[in-house]
Amino acid sequence: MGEGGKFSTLLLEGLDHYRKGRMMEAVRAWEEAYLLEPTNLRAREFLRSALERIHAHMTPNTRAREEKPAVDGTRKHPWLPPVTQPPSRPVADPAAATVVQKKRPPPATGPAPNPWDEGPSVAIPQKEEKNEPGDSVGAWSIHREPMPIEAVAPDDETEVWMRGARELVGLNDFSGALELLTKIVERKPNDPEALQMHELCEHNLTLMYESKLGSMGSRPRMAIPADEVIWLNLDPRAGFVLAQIDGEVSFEDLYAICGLKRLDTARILCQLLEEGVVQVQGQDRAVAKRAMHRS
Amino acid sequence: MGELVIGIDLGTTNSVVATVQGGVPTVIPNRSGYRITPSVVAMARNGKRLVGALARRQAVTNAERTVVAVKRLMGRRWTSKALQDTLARMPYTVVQGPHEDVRIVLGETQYSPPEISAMVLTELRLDAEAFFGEPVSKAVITCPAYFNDAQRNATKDAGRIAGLDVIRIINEPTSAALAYGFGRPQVEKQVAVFDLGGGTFDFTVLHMFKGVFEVEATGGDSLLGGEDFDSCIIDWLAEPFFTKHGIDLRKDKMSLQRLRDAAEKAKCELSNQKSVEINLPFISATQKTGPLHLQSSLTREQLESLTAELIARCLRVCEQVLGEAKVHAGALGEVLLVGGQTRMPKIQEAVKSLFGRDPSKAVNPDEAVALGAAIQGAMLLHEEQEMLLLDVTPHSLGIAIAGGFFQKIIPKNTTVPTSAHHVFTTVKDDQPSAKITVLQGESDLADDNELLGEFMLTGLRAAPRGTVDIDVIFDISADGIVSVSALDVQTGARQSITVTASSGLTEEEIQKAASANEDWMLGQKEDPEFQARKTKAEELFREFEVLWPKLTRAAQNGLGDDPLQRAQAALSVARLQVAQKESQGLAASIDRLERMLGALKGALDRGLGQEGR
Repeated sequence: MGEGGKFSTLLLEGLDHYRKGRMMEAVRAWEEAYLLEPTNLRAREFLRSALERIHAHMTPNTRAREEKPAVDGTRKHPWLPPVTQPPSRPVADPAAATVVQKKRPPPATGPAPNPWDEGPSVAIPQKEEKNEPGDSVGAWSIHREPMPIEAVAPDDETEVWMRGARELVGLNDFSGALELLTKIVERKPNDPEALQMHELCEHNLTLMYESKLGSMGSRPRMAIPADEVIWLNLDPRAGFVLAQIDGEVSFEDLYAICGLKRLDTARILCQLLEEGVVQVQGQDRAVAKRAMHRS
Repeated sequence: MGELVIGIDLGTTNSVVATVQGGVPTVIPNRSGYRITPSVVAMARNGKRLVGALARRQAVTNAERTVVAVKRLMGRRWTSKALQDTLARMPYTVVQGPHEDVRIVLGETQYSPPEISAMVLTELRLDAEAFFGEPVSKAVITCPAYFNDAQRNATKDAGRIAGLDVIRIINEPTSAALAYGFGRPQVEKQVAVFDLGGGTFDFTVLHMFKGVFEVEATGGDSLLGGEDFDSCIIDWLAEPFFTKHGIDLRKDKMSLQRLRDAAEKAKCELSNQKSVEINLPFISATQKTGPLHLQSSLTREQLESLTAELIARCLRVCEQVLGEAKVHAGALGEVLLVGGQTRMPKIQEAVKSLFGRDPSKAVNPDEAVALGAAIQGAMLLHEEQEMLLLDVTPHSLGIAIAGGFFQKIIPKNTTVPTSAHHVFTTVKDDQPSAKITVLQGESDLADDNELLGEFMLTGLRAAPRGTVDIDVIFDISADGIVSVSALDVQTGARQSITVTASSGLTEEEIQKAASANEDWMLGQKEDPEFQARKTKAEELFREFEVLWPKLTRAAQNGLGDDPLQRAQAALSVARLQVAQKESQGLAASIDRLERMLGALKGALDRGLGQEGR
């Protein structure tokens, strides 16, 4: 894998961790990505978002622990907090036990809205994980500990989500915002602000994917032999989209014939392209990958 | 080049367009390079009108906005029994039209069947124009031999909406026979046309004699075709999967679409090879097992066994038509196979065993009908020696009589032109008038037959019932126009009607639809250079849109508003140029936008305007 490919993988991994709340792992992946391509704004911006989130959510005890000097005493970037080795076992926070745990929203059953998430379509193999609070397995369990915040009523919870969604939109994290907004819309299907922001996020995400696909008139074709498809990690929808790709239909036609939401089709196509499963005619894989890294 | 004319086989499932070039009948490939265009129209979710292969590929996943087999709706009245039978099989919404006709609901718009058919014809016309490099306006279109007047008129109207001057509508089997007879002017034969298409089966017996083509009998099964063969394969694939995994793939639109595509592909391949592998990876998934794949091997023998009943149904139709025409199977001089499904070796064997002879290989099953239409078109246009095409009435014609019964006056398979009459009488004392309801069909019950028209014979003399003689006379001209008159034999009072079967559209509606279609075509004919520029501009619009939130932040943090305002202005200009199709101006705008985008990206990369820097 070339530098570009590694960078992209790290970015994806980081986003996956970020979405799942594993902030330190996200930071680690993005830090590595940042070191590979220091001029890349995306890695820098993501890294900063993750660090801000860590600081915002740390309990006083945890913050105190993390504010101790790092083992190696180094800071890689001026705005990076001191990096500590996580405790080998999770440290139970006595304060956390006395408050009602705000449950993490259950994982969405539909496609993951993050453009760089594994989603259900083309997955980056992930280790199975448990999301229950208090899970004591794993070196980075600190980030899955219950976040000790005040108990909130369901309606207030949507307000919290909405605030989060606004923040994420401000950070250009449309996928994260979309995830929250989807939950809000499920609870409040007529909330005009949520609906409007939901639409905005979908629109922006679609545009992001499409900017990676290139011309909508391009005709993608399979880049791997048909008998190797079975070794991929796809879901039936991605399998369906892939089955429609024959080098004769354009991206725009694929939107029409796949019958999925434009965003879902764009995401699947983007990921198939990125995985090297398909390629655009007249554009070799390297070019396609460069296109993926544009933005 | 002289005036161009095309021949169109407007099929239920697939359509083909052909022409005669340098005296040689030739199929015109479509713009994707294929010789067959599916007769499918769809309104994709993104609002794009799809016609042909693309429409077909999303027919299952977007079933409610995809019109297949519109031919079955052509010229039908809403109250027709045939229509109601057909509607049960249609996945899209069909509603009653304003003239007792039918309308198809596609998104927010209702279309008449001729309008949908016109979309297919327009596609074929554009293919032909791309082939010739110049406009095409004249066409001969084929229709099944059993189409009635209203259905033929609907086909003609579809042609008009598509901007075509339909110079003749000819019967499909006659057209296939014309293709067979091309270059064999002296052949005298009784020929059977075995036409098993995608959605219908038609069997016709014709007599060819020195340029005269006389249809002697025709019949068929309008609900039997190649798609039924595909369905057998789909069931064969889906059932074991259901048994093994508890998932019925036929109930999931995406899985079904993949099954349908794979089944058709396997069926076609089995015409040339003994077995095929069917691999559908990731066709489904469960929480427990993860992704599920469908992998199977189908042999030709298995396919033959699965479809044996369908083949038997075809043969039963043949026997019935031969019986009606009083023709012995062994007496036929040739059996022409038409329709892609007849490539199946087992069908060829079955035909051979029924007729005692190998079917002719002289015509291409997919192309014969279109080629015949092209030949007819060339003859009409260039006034070459015209072949005489004699048709038969595909249905019996008659009137409704007391008690709700149907009295046939001209039986089916009567060669046209023809004339026949029948004397009726009054059913009431001093009956002043008689209503003559003209019907066609085979049922003894009037209501089960198709209404062609009705009129009143008034001024009957006052007399006891059963004493007034009314002579009803049917005339069918060589063009298939039906005229009916009723005569009070004693007084000589006469009323008549010419059955001008309507397609369901008024003249005004046809003109309006034609004009809308012309506008759509203009949109399609955009200059390729402009198209490329438009695509490029749209890419740039997208890039700017994605970048805009960052630029807005950057503007607040040191970059300033000016670059954004300039970019905004340039984008507005470019958008206007796209809308107004200003190709030259758009080229300049693209250059400008590219430069701006590069500069803005550079500024962002340098961290200009970033918070905290």
